[in-house]
Amino acid sequence: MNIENFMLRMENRAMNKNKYLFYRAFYIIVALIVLSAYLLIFLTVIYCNSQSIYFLLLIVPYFAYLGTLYLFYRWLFIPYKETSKIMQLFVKGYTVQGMFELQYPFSPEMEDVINKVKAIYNTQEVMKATKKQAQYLALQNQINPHFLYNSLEGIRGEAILAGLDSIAEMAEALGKFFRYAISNYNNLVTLEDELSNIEDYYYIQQYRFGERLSLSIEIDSENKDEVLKYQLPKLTLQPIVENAIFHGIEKKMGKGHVRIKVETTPKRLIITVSDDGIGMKEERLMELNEKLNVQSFEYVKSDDEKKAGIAMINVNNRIKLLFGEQYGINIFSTENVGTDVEITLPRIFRTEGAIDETRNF
Amino acid sequence: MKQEIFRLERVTQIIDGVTVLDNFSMHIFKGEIMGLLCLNDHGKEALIKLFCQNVPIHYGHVYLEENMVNNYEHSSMSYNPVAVIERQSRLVENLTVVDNIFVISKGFKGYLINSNFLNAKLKLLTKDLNISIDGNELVFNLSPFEKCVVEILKAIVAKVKLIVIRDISNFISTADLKKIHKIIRYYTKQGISFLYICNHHEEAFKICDRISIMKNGKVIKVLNKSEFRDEVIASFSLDFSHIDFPLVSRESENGILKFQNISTDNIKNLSFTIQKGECVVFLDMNNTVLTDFIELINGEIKPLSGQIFFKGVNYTKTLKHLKNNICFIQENPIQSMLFKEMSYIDNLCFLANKKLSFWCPMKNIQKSVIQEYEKLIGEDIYASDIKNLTPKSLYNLVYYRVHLYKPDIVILIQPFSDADMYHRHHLVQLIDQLRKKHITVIILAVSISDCLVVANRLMVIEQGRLQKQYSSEKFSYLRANL
Repeated sequence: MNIENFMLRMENRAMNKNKYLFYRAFYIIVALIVLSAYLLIFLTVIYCNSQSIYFLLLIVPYFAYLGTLYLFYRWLFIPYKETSKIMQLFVKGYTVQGMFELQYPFSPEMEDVINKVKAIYNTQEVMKATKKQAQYLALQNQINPHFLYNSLEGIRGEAILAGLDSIAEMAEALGKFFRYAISNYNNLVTLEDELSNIEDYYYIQQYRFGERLSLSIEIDSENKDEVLKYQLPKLTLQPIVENAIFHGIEKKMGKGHVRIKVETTPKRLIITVSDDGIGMKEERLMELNEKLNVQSFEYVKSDDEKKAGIAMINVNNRIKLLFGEQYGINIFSTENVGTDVEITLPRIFRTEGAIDETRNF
Repeated sequence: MKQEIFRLERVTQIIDGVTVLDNFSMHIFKGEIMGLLCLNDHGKEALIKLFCQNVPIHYGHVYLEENMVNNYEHSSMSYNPVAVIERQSRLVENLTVVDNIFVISKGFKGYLINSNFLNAKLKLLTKDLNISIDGNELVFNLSPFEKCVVEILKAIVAKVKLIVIRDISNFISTADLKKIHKIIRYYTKQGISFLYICNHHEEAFKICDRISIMKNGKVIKVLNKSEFRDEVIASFSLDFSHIDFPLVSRESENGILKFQNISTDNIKNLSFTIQKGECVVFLDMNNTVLTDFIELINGEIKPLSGQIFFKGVNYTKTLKHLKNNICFIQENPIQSMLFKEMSYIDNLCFLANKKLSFWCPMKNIQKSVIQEYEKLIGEDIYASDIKNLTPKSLYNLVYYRVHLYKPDIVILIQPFSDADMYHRHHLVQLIDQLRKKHITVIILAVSISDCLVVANRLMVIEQGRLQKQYSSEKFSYLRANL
């Protein structure tokens, strides 16, 4: 709806151009260029007729005129086009960071306005909302966490006493999983912790799916121990794996496999979660990719029943807010083939204060 | 830890209102052969340009060695250290090999050119590759394979980070392709990355480390080596199965076309017989005999020894009369075989006019042709300007022109080269239409491509000699081994 309004506004704008200072300035500059050209030609004609030796002096204003035109192009036109493009992308939702890092603001006052908008935008608030959403998605309902831990510990104890090891193990995995999901939410965690949580989650799901579900984790690096110490936002992988299982493999006939592949470069950590489930229809994939590209937080308020993509959008937004627009999620999917979710993160090998240091806003 | 050479992150490029790259993401590591399997041509050209030059994009980021070189906010128009190797060579034909490799290079700073020194440098470069190229030879005289090698060497000397190999199997032979693959593997060990663009997954599987599948300007799947299986690809490709055509006539001794101990400069003692209605593929492993074969059929050269029989009659003696019964469809025919200033129907009837007497009223003939072919071609048959028609419609025009003419034999030269999957699928249907009309089809090719889908028989020619013949029952074995 916002984009439609934007297009409507653009049409109205085109009809009433004189209202804008830019167009007024543009008309005056064009008028000055035409007038200068006219004066130069006029002077040339006069000097040619008078056959004066000062005719050669005209070369200087000609060069100055051409130089001014070049400066107009390089100093005004190109920067204006860039700024204008970023503003349009901001309005359409493609970029937020770009708007706050404008290289060529129109005026100092405009720069102040942007800074003010940045303050109003208040990413902290949005962060809180997305975190809550993630927590909610992880838990799916509002159960008192301590009550839950204690109950699960109780079940585990009873199961051990009764010799039911499998129930004890399941209760333990469930307890670990919830403890991880709820506790100490603000910090980054290590990849090792995140993968361990995935293993717990897989263990729990195996009780339901049995041999139908398999999981493999590949770390494509010579130094696996170091890779496992890299940091990433908590609950980045679990929602993606959950999506792979429930929207990919559950609906598929026969066995399904989820593969987590970790690759590193000097600056990036690339994690790909692939499943060989039912995949997505092209329209659904386009819709999801559009939501991943456009930074909008409307989904936080939404009571939409289609929650399949919400977790993924939430993870994507958290990554972008923390590390910048160049990181995030890419989805490749083909119906009846499977889905690959590629998560790109910065390579962080720190323990404290990582969030604040890497934030770009 | 892997070193990233190139990264395209959610790149969207819009040219003239058409989205040529749509949310395109790809990363290529150092020393990696990244495959790009294009299901259609949409966005391919724009992508190659984007690798070479930092042109404006609508959205996204481009990184070279993890440094941002292009983004939606600012595009510098600067060039990246990328070389492209494709059918159209970028070498200067009138200069020697060493001049092309060393002198016309950004890093060359000498004022005097010492040929001996440059030749010695070339020998050093080619020593480990087990390839011998004369450094003083003009590029003009080189074979397509040698030109490719020279272009790769030039790229290495220019210290490029990425070499884009585009549809190479379309213009070099199967034997030479194996050598090129060896060279590519050698340089990947030296840390050079390759983007290997091709239309056939069988080709990509043999050489690539990973493969991105692209359709309509976006990546739809990235395959890792463990996923290089036909059944994985089957989900993305069209169904190429088609009707099997039985031979029209019983096998006869002379068939419709017979070569008996034919020798030319490049052909050595070639003998074969083709039956009426058959579809035969000649695979020239070294890309040396096809030109001689075409010139023999055209009557441009005469065999040094041996005889050619067409329907049992000595072909060389009755050349003028029989030439009308053999048609050629050139490589990339929509560029080379159509008259752009003529209407669709005029183009369609162009060959058929040869068979008509002078007194036949053209308008009536065209009217009946339209009646017959409209159901096959559609509304495009009425087009007065063919310049704006789709490639599919133009392929229809080329093949139905032959269909209408109904020669005894049609010779297709590399019919599947440069065609994306959708066009290749359509070409298979068009060849089937020719065969339904009992036209004998001979396919001349340097790479196997989709030729086996339509063929009854494959003849493999190596060093000018017929090495092996395979009937259609053995094709499945061949697909795995060629």
